[in-house]
Amino acid sequence: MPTTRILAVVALIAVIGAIAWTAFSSDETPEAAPLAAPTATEPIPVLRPAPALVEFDGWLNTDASTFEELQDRVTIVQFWTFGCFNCKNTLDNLGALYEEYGDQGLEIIGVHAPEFDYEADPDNVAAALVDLDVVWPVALDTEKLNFQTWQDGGRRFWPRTYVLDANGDIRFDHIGEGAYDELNSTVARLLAEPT
Amino acid sequence: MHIFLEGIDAVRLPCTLAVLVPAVALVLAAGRRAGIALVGFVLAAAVVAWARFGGRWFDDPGTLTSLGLGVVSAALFIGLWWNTGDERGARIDQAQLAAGAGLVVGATTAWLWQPCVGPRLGAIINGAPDDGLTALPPTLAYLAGATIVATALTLAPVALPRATVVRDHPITSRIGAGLGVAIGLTIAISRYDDIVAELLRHSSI
Repeated sequence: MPTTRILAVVALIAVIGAIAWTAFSSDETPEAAPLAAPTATEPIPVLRPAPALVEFDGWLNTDASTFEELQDRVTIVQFWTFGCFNCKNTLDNLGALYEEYGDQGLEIIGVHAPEFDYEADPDNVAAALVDLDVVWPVALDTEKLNFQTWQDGGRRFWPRTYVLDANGDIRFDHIGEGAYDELNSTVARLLAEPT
Repeated sequence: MHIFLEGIDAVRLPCTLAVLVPAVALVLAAGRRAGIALVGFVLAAAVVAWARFGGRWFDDPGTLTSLGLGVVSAALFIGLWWNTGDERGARIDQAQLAAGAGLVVGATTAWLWQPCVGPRLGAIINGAPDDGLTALPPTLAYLAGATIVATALTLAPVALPRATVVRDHPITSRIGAGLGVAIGLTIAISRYDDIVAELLRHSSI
């Protein structure tokens, strides 16, 4: 058998094996990292002042109608959409943070910026919040005005998670899922900072 | 290696179909030159994706740009099919045409691609503005993983001689070209996102 064919057979077996591994691997979402206690480490840098959050098309899970009503506290702002697989993977960790620190000054605002038309329907969003057990305020950014303002320069992704301190400065900025340890630690440390 | 595996794992996610389907169409249409077409596709896609991740690329393509990209992509797929017709004989060097089609279709696909940002791809994207060229190899590895089905289709005729019958059958090139033209036309009329949305909506995830 020619060498080329042998190499191709080996490569094909490896490729099929990799595809099979993907097909039969677990679909479990990654576990959220355990909530971190504040630790004495280097100061959390101020990345930049947060842009405004304006002109939402509505709010869910809250009586608030503007971002200002929820400000002046440590806030997680996450741009997400309910059809996004990786966005959904972050929700368990956010839920744990909200449950742990919600009465200690933490606010979470899920800015729902739809990627596709079916995600723009407020009824679909409301139903998704129930299905996904999202209990924190969700702002509807249907035209993605804030999504584009906060993520300029063409680097726009779902999910994108920011942590703002009580002064409205961004102290954490992460694209995609993951980095739960860093997120949880940042939240805990900011809540422990004297106001 | 892990980022390559994350790319493979992303194959089951609908958002990766936006990359995988054009790659498969290209491989089918390119026939005996599927390998060079796929290499061009993955390389071009990796470069454009790396540039986007680092904030070094253009914003989302506008209406006219989408029209141009779609028309050119569709024309390249038609060219691949037309040039493989035995009864006509090759008018253009098929290897060059396949490589060019791979580069253009790969770059177009990556420009329109909205990735599923998992932990490892997220690490690449988060660091891309500061990491410079060092972010390119892992981006390439991710896309190589995400297009692994196309790789399998390319390798099969080399590994299994009987598979060449399928590869070289005229209908295979027509299917690939037809799929590619359909993709090109949806890009040209700025409806590519709608197709992806339907795939997402009907997915089981």
